[in-house]
Amino acid sequence: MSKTLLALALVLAGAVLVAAQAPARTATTPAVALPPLSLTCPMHPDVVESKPGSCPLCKMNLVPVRLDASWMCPVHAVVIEPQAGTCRLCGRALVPVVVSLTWTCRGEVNAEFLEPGVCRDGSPRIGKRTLRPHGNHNPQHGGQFFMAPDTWHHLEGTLPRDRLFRLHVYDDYARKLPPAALAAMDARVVTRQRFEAATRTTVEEEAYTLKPSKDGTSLEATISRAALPAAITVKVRFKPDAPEYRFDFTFRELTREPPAQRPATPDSRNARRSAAPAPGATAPSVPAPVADAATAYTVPTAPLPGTMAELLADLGKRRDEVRGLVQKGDFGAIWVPAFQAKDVAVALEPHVGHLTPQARTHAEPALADVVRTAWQLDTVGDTGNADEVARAFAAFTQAVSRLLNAFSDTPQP
Amino acid sequence: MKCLATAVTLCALGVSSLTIEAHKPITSPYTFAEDVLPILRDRCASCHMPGGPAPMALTTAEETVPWGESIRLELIAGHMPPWSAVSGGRRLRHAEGLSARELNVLLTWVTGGTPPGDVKPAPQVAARTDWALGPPDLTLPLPEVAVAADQAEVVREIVLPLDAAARRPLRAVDLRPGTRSLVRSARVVLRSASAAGAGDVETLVGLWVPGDQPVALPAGTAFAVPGDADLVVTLRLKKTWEHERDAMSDRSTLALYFAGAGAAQVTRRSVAIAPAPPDRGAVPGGVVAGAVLNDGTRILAVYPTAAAAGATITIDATPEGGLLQRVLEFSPQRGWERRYWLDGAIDLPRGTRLQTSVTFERPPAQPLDGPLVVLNVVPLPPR
Repeated sequence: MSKTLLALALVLAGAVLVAAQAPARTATTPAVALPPLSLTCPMHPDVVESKPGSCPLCKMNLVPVRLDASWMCPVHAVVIEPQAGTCRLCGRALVPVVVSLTWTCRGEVNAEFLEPGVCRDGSPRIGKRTLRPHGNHNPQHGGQFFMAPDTWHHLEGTLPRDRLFRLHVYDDYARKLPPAALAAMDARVVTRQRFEAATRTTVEEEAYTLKPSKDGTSLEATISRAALPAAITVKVRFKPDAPEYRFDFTFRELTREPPAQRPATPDSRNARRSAAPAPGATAPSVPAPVADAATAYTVPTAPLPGTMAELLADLGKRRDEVRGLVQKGDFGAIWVPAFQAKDVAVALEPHVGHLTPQARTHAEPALADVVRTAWQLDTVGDTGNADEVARAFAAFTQAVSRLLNAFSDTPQP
Repeated sequence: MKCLATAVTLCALGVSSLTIEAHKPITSPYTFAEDVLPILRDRCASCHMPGGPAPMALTTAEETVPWGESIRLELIAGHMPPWSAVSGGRRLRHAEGLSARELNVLLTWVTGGTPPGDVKPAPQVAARTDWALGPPDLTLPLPEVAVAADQAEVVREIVLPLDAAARRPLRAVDLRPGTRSLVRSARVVLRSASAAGAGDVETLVGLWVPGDQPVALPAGTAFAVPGDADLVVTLRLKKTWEHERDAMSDRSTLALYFAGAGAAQVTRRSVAIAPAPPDRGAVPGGVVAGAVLNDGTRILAVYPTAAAAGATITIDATPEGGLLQRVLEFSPQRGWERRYWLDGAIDLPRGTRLQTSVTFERPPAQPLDGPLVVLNVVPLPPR
């Protein structure tokens, strides 16, 4: 859902940039067409429909909402602008988010309109942009960002200096959890563990409890010195009766947490989250200024090769790219080459006619398995559990190998 | 993030239409009407139809959209269709999984805003009322089985004594459920006291699950019906959540197809009988059974027993001095045990080593004391 909302942000952002190139919308005179009205559930904001009706989850009547793309300061959530730029409070580059757009009137705190217009006192209505749930999946401290499997909690891990690990925890609106909620969490950092095959259990050999920081805004642990790149596992139980979730962070360098007040020098993580990789890129690893992200959006699908031999070579290349990202712990970027691989698999499907009947019985299920496991990688890449990523990657690479084997003896048409 | 590419493409191609029409983040280039419906109709509707055995129909956009996330989870887990299997070098009859394109279309659509497309009133998908194998030689109405309002599931064993006219070699058995939404499986066996003496208590002649298609044995082969055999049908009836508090009943019909005289007798060969694991905690799922064939054997079909649910099973055959051949690889799901018919038998000469490997996702809760996989075989005809 979050990805969908991000996609919406980009669609809408593109609409603004490509079609309108309009100045910032004012409260009274919309220079461009308003975003269309959608219908959402008051209790389940993830539900967004195009027609009136009831929520499929709780059956409440859907209510209208006007969704729009905006840019928000990664630190000052109050700063939400209609266009890319820098934060007027701290100068940091703004990051793309999804907001709901409403209008209100001075002195009428409860007044909320879905259209611009004129207030009772004759003054123009004032536009208001409110962040949507999952509208912001950007790390706010330059770290690595994951969404928990409960789809409500979000975590960002940082390694700001040697031996210090810090965990920032957010809700689905990217708001930091209050200190009391952080203190109630049962969380630890595991820097060394081994799997005992005999008992099929994981034994943690080096673990550190995460405790609230002095200012209470994050959890911290002093850990043993870790050589870079550092693989750090965090295990979290958000409530005593909740399941334990695992998140695997990989730090290739110490995190440069932005100081409170200084002009923006966007970190690579922000850029990675905000801009898709260029066609054919092995990973979206080239930092791009976030302020330019809106114009840097690039379709991450390279043109597919035409011949069967080229498609097969491309498939192997994508598998290697996925492997590289898995090894680097850059789970959030896996979806790019994984999806490119499944597009290659779909393009290969018409070529099975060139195979022998026996090879075909191997190739057809392998093609479907490449597609299925690519979607699996996309799913597990979001939640950052290295075991699940490893399982999905093993299934993916096995499917690719089966496919390449099935095609290997075939004369090229 | 995955929707990014499509989103940007859409931006570049048609911003104005987006601002007018896109009420939700539609990033799927595939629509229900043009792309999704044909796949659902051909591959899923035998169960996912109004009144069908699946708890949700998937024949219209209105029915399908609310199940988008469930569809995504089931597909990426490989749970649907529930019986995909791979045979090395042989096709399997009625056991194909979704193709790469079909999977990609469905997953892209459910994650990309589920656009309806140009929906026109589609002809209602109707349940099949004829017999897939043609008119049966004999139909046997089963007695009514009731599932009370406070019951969710009923398993009933029905014994059908066969008269002399029906004691003929069988080439196929089919079932027509009376209440399609209720019947989840039917296991049809021949039970014979005389055969029990020979260590062959039951012969499975039919294994029906919703959505499966009956298959007749190849010409010239048949299941022998002993003179004292009864036909025993184990019917599993289970309500979907839509009928949770309803009193329901079923009256199914069994169809028998007889073989001609002189047909070769199809027998069973049980494989992968697990030893009692000495230390179940240390068994991630390891059962490997090997056997050498004393006679030339033709494999027609393979089926798992209930104990094999949740396992991944591979059966390999290596003829003497020959190359290993994968007979079948499959992962039976609980409640979906079915027979896998090879489209073209696999002939194995005498001396072939059959090796079966069974890997459980989790160690079995109960000790394994029976066969996990059964092959239906006939003697290899002399050259």
